[in-house]
Amino acid sequence: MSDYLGRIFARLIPLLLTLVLVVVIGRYFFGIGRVDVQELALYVHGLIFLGCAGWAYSEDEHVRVDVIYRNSSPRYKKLVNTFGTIFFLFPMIGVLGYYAIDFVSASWSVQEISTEPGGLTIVYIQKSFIFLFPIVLVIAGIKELHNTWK
Amino acid sequence: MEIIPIILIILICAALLLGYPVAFTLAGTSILFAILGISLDFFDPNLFKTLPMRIFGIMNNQTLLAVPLFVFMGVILEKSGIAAKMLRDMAMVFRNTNSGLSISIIIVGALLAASTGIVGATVVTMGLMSLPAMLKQGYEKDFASGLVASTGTLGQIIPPSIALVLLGDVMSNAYQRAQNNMGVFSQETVSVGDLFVGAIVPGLMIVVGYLIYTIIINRKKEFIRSEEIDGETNILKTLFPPAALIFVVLGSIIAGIATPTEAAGVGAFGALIIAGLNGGANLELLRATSYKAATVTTMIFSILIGASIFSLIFRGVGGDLLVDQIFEMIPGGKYTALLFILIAIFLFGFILDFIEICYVIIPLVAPPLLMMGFDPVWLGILMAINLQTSFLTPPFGFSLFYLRGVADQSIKTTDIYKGVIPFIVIQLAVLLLVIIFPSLIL
Repeated sequence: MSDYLGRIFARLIPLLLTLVLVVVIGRYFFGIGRVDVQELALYVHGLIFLGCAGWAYSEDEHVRVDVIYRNSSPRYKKLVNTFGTIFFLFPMIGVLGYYAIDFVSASWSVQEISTEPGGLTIVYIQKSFIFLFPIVLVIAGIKELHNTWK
Repeated sequence: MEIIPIILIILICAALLLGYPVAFTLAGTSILFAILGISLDFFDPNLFKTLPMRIFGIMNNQTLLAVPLFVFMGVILEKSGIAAKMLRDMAMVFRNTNSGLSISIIIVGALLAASTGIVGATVVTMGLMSLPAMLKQGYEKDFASGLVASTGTLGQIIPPSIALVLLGDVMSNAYQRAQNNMGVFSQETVSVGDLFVGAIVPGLMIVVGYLIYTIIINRKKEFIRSEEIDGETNILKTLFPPAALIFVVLGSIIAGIATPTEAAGVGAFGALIIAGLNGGANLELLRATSYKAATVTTMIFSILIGASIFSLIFRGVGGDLLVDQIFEMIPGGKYTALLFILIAIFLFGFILDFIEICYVIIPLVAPPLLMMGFDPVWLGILMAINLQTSFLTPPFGFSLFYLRGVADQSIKTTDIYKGVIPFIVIQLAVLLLVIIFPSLIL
């Protein structure tokens, strides 16, 4: 599930590249500075790195300090991953998710718009992306626990 | 002495050694510690409210937008086979000289280094591509593995490296903080472009140092000519496009024409075009590259998020005071402090990769050093060279581990250790020269 989501968000990379190129071409060939396109690129960037976190977790792409881990038994690795998921990953997800609620809803209630002239008027949508990070990670964490101990 | 932040540091070091992903270990340990702090009344829970703002700050950081684009550029050069082709064609050009292949590896490594900037990835790629070829040509095992491990770390220092983009972001914040603390009103800034410019001379010195050593040590060697690198080649056609691309990307940033993000976008697009001209561009390549670029980007930004959670909580329990106290305890002048910090960072380089050091350690130690009057660009480059050397140093250097992972079993670990020593000496010589002659930083 979080893998599936991750692959979808990963496919936004070419879109991100296109948006940045649009900004560059606009600025250097036509002398137009488009703040909205620039901000859209940041939105897409946020979607990518927040939305792919769970997938990267399942694919074991997050770096570890592996001085001990590298040469350890599968059993050690299993225990460390279970311990880490419960005592490191889940508390982080809980705190981030909980405090993001106020932060994002405050933005929705004032229908927050960009502070830049010509910027996008949907900053509350961008702020909502923050939830992606805890959501995809909690899915990946549960999946891992399930696969380890089923 | 502030005792609480010391406990937090010890707990985090212990937790990191377990081997769970760094990003979440940093975040999770700090958060559990903070929750304990709330019940024991040494942490203010209101600080948690600023966490979403910090993530939002990372999401809105224009400079960091360059990261996925530079990663994309590097991955495409690698996955489309352009990197391998460059290496082979260059080796053909130099096939009648004694150190031809190793010279090619250094030059191609320096060019490619620029693009991925992640120690592991570069060493693995270079190791798989060039180590077997070198052994076949009769190079000594220790020299060959030392060369590959060292060349793989060039990505830390040669611009446009991702490491320097991240370092630029961190140093600019640190510089601002230092000037705030000193009450400077008309503040100066430091940018990623400044670091790129600053890294040019030291980066070239390291590459030239590697080249000279390689030529000297191989001058009398009997080399075996292998058929693999025989035949006709058009070196200009292979080497020119990627070199031109890197020149344009770097040039536009240095000349101040484009921001790093814009230049990275053009670089990524250019790499795609070059792959197309080589007949290697198709949807499958685009998909594979996007996947790889997305996971690497996520990995980097997860650490940024984890590190920012750590630093919030570390400061919340008085970590800043602790850092100040440590600086006061260091005897002697500001150069002793600098030396002390460089050694500490060097040791941290044994367990932490560049990104973690950049976002966990440097934000704590850079402001006090900058307040002593050191130049931010100079300091940043020193830290970068220092770390790059750390990644090479036995027995814990990152680069050595990654090379060990891909190297043939016939290469002993001691061969690798022995092989990197001359390169470490070159690194330290450049580091020393930059310390003595700050004007080497343009």
